[in-house]
Amino acid sequence: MMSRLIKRFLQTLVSLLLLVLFSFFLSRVLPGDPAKYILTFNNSQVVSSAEGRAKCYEQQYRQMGLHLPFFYFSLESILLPDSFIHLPDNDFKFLLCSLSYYSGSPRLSYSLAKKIVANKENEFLVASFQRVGVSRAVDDLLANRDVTEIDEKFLIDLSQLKSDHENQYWKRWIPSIRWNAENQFHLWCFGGRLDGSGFVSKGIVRGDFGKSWTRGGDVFEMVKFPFLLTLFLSVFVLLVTFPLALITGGWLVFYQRKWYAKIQKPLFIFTYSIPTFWMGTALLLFFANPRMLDWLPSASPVLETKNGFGSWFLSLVSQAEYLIIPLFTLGYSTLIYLSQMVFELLKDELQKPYVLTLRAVGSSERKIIFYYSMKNILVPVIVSGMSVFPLLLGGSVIIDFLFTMPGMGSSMLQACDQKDFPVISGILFVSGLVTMLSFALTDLFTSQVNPLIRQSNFKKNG
Amino acid sequence: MGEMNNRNKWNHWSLKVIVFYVFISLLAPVISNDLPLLRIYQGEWSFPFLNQEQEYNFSEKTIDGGFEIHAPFGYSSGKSDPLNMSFRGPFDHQLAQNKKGELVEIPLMKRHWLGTNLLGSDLLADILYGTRVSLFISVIATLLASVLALFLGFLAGWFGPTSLKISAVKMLLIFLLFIFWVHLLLNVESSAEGWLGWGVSLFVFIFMMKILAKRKMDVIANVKIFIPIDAIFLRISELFSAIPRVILVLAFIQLLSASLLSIILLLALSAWVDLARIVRAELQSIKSMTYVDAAVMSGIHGARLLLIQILPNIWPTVLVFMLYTFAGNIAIEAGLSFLGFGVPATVKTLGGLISEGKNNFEAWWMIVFPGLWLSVLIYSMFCLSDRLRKTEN
Repeated sequence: MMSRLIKRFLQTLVSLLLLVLFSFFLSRVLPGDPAKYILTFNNSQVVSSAEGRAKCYEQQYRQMGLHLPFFYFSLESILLPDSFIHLPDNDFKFLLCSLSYYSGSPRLSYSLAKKIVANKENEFLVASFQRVGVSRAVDDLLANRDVTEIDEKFLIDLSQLKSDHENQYWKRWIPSIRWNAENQFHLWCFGGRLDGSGFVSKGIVRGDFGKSWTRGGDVFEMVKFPFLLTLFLSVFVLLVTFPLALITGGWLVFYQRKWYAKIQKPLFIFTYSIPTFWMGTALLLFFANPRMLDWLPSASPVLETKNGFGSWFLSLVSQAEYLIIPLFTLGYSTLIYLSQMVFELLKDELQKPYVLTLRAVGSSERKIIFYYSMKNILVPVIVSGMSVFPLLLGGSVIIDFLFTMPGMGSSMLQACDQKDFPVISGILFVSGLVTMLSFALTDLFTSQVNPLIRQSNFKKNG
Repeated sequence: MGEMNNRNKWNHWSLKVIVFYVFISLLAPVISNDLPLLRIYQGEWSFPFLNQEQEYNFSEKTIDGGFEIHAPFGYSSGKSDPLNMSFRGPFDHQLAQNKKGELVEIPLMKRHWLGTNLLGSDLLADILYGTRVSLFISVIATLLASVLALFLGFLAGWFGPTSLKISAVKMLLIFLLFIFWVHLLLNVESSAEGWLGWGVSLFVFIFMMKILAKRKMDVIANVKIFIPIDAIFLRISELFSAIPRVILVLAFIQLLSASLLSIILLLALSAWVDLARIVRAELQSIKSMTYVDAAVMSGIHGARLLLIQILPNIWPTVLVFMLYTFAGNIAIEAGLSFLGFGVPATVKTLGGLISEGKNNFEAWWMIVFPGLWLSVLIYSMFCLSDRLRKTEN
């Protein structure tokens, strides 16, 4: 038993590591420059001068720790010294790296790139480097030396660069793997501070998912209550549907020869094949619509989030009538899925010889179905009940969108609209984490409940 | 008996419904079009419906005794009918212009049978064209996902926890090649040189492998390490089944742009897990059967063994789960367009139509008809897979 526990724990740990890597990947592999995106999105204090803007940009860049390499290992050419990668200015970094690649001599490239960037009139040069590539740009410059007002020294450097390119060209082909002690992944995962750049993070292991790009707040604080609402609804649906499915399945088997038990299957499966979003829309159309039946409110509950968990929960419970349609929309497919499963399993179970014995002994049919057989099918039903959990979390996106509930889905959709990647990756991580933990718990629980699994495991190990 | 069973199992109403949907969606431009399918005018034959850009001109027909064949439903998707704008229901008064230019009640053949939307576009035509998009996306995504799932499931199920062994030197070589290729991909941007590098390094790699395969190198090549491919598969599949599919697709669609291709790719990448697990489980039970041993002993290996010997035996189960995946893909694609993050808004889809109706509750037909149409499709898929599963047992 102990070894099984340890093994399952290690497996969960590996999966969690994969999840962390996955979320990190999502939060970093973006089109464009996040620092620029944040500055253009929140341009509350407009800085007029170009110098001020550059300073702002550098500050933002360093605050986010973007000047660090991504991971513990990085794969670079031997041409790029470590210091090149840590530069805060993206344009300068691009120019420097491409010059260095071109020539194979970092020192010369650095002085040249510095010169190009320092001279404000040469802004078009950087653009041309980006546009046509380094070798074309250098050739053009050397060919039309009268067109640009560049001093002699610069031209000498440039021709030196070209000759270096012809001699040391091969160096760029050689990869080198580097170890980075300070990197973005470590800071994101375990937290830490960067002296001199203002970067402070507690890391996701302590629940710090960073700051939202567009709304500025702490992601954890922003997502806390929405996620609680979604989790509460999902767990509530599971807790309600599970016993309900057992009872429904049992009754369907008990009355399986009656006509209404015979037509239940196509009816249930048709309801099951209705997509969640259409079910929700149709319920709103028929039951929360002044033109048809105005029985239930179509608005969403207004939740109290200022005074902590207790008042939040009270405000949720006191507005329970707002939750009827959402809960039904979230839960109907789970209920049908589980009850059909119970029905099929019970039907097979009743064919087994022990049921015949029980009948011969004189147990009532009701007791056979609801007690003896139910015990035997409990484990697969629990396992598939827990496998529904990610579907419930995913369904909450649609529920939140339809009923404008302040749940995780609303946060997700808002973040998707604004391309707010810290929030997106945070939600992805948390929903994956909760599901993985529930999978592991289910495994342990079923191995405890079912003596067969326990025993077979015991035999295998010892 | 078995053959009878095999012939009968496809004889079910649900398959007919699915084939009907596929036909409808393939023939949508012929079934519902505002342009004539065929026009014979002054002895010249033309097919105006192939060119959707042009507008239908009533007067053209009346100039001369020309001959035209029209589609059964006279509206194209997305083209607005200016006389029946802003949500005209199926039972409402619908207007049309007669030859004298007066507004009259629409003739029966030209009615909007399922109503119109805000811009006066015909709902029936929108549904037909939307089914086309939905089916196209889900079919391709399901096929891609199945290929991926079969590959990964085969790999994990066939090799199991310990039996994939690879020579340590070969592993090292593969690792070096991998490092070099990633370096080329990330750092050396010039494409011509990049391709040269890929080619040369691959050539060197194959050459080294050839040397290793010689008998003299046996001592080096026999130092083997095993790869726990089964455990890797299980962990990755746990990761993909733990993250809700909607959230996964929503998150990654922000990285790629929302286009048909990216939706297909993301649906495929998020749909393989269940099928791959089934394939793995089937393979584990089938691996120890005698016919597999016989095949191995007669010298069949690798892809040939899997595709010719094993795949036909697990095919019925795979087909059932492919149908489930298909139904799931259709539902998720519709849900994404409903949320507004699916295919670009210019493309009509079933989910997009329902979300259009959701904002205007007086137009109940915008909600009811596309939803029913979608549900019947998904329902018949469930029924077909149920049928296949039952005849299998």
